[in-house]
Amino acid sequence: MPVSDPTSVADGTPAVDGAPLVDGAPLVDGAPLVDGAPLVDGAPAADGGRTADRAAGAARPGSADGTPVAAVEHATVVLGERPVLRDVSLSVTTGEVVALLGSNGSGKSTLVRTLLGLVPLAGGDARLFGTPVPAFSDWRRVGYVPQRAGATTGVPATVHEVVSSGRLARRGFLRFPSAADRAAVTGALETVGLADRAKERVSTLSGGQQQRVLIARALAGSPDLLVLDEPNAGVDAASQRAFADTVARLVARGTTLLVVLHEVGPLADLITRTVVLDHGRVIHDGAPWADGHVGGYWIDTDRHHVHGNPTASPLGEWDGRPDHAGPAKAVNR
Amino acid sequence: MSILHYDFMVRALIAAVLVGLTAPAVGIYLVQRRMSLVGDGIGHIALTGVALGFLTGTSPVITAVIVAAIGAVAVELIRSRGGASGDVALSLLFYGGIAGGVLLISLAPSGGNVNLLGYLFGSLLTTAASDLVVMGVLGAAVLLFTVGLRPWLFAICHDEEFAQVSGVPVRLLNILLAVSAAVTVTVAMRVVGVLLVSALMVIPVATAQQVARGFVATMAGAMGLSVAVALTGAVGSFYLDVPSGASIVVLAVLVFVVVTVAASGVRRLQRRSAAAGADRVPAPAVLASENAAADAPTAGAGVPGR
Repeated sequence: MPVSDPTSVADGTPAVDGAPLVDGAPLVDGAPLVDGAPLVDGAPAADGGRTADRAAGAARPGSADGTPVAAVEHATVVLGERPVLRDVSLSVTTGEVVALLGSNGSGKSTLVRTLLGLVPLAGGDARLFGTPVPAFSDWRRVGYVPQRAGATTGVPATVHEVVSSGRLARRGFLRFPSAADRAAVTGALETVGLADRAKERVSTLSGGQQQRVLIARALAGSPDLLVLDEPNAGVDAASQRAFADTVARLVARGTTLLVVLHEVGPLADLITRTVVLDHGRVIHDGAPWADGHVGGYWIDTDRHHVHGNPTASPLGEWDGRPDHAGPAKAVNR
Repeated sequence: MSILHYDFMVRALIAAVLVGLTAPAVGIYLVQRRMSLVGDGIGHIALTGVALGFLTGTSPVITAVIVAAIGAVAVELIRSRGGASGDVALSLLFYGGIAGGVLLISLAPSGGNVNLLGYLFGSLLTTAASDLVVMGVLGAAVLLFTVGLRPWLFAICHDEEFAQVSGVPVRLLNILLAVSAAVTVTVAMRVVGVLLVSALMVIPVATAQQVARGFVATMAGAMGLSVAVALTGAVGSFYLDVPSGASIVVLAVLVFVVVTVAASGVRRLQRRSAAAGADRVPAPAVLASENAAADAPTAGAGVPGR
């Protein structure tokens, strides 16, 4: 049905160049990405242009190696008595920016937590950089931003202290921090725009800023793979745009991203591939799309429900944001 | 000072310093995990160990360390499993510990109410030189662990899953932290007693965090405050002839109240002057990047909603 096969985008994207910051340019002046011209048009050129942009650059070192950065095969996870993932297979290669979408309870958080070894597999296989997760030990290559863990605990901590804990994987157990460790923490704080708040209590920051502290914590280890679990949940629009700006810089650096999202929001322009889960199964894996519509499926973010039939989409509800390509256009494409 | 002429008083003050340093050094991690009362539970369990010492004629300190360590590891395993029944399991352990202690002490031939009271609420002035050696060795080990491994212990208590994904040996450190909590309880048993030991682990931390911005500052402040309170309380117990645990903990609570009231007063003043300042001049946006600038207006609004 679609003129541009969704999967072709994913296939064409492993190589990421340093240039796509052009795409991110509107972010610099704080304009929301959804306003970006390509998405307004909803034209096939949107995806095509982005893919061309990325493909134009030189292949990054490491992308030639065919080993997936993160992969699950026939993964089945049971929490309590309930099967949460059923026969899920997914492979993320270097330089990809993969959005993991789905309604509440679809298993998207469980999938990334399985990849990180936080949830045991009932069946199938999970690998990081080619190594089965239970045997994986090179954790310095992985950065994790948990879902709304909250950056505060029973004892106050400064922004700098929390971000420093993200450097432990690189620093090594029982070693003193080196100058490089300190520089990495400062650099991570600068990346998320919180360098001037380093000495403040985390609890005095806004929700969005606290989320950025957790992102900086993951960045402090300079990971090759960054896994983010709903980084924009409950975060104000300004922080969401700041986050998209950070992601653009990471993509330029060649970091592979796996992002669990409830809605695509300002990240739309950076995502190279979208995977949609429904009731623990992958129902879409391919072309990225804006909110509301993913590769022939309609996500009703208000009702937290995924419909299988795009023609059944209630056009009236979809409207809130006229910037997005509507489901009807997708069907016609 | 004339009280330093008494050997028992010198021993008491050394013991007070030891306990003042170790109790909050371990306690801060329990508070960070919002498990402040675990120290109390371990104290209950330690009582069974003390009783076992009396009953078998071995040193109560050694049996208490062993039993409390076993109990603390059990508590840690229950905690890490999660589960809805964890709460009940902890209750069983804690109350079983104290009941077992009272039962065993009553069965012991030399057991009596005087001994029991000393272990329950502290009898610092009866600290023997041999006790002091054991306390010194155990306390030094606990300090080495809690202060030396601070970045890793901070990480596992701040966000356990993140620490695991960072390759930190979470399970090992959790067990070691539980054991050092048990050791601390035993070390502090002489000074504040098993029923009050948790107070010295928690209250100085709660007091220091009223004024400190970060974790390191809270830890240093809590340890300093705890030493001061333990020393003052020990001297007080000598002059007032009261159990040392009672005088130390009452003092700690008083300092907490004073600091909390003062800190909230200072914060209110700051807020008022900040508000007055904002009325006069529009606050200049001195921010590093446009990201921060975009975020700034929401900073104040975001907090109350959370």
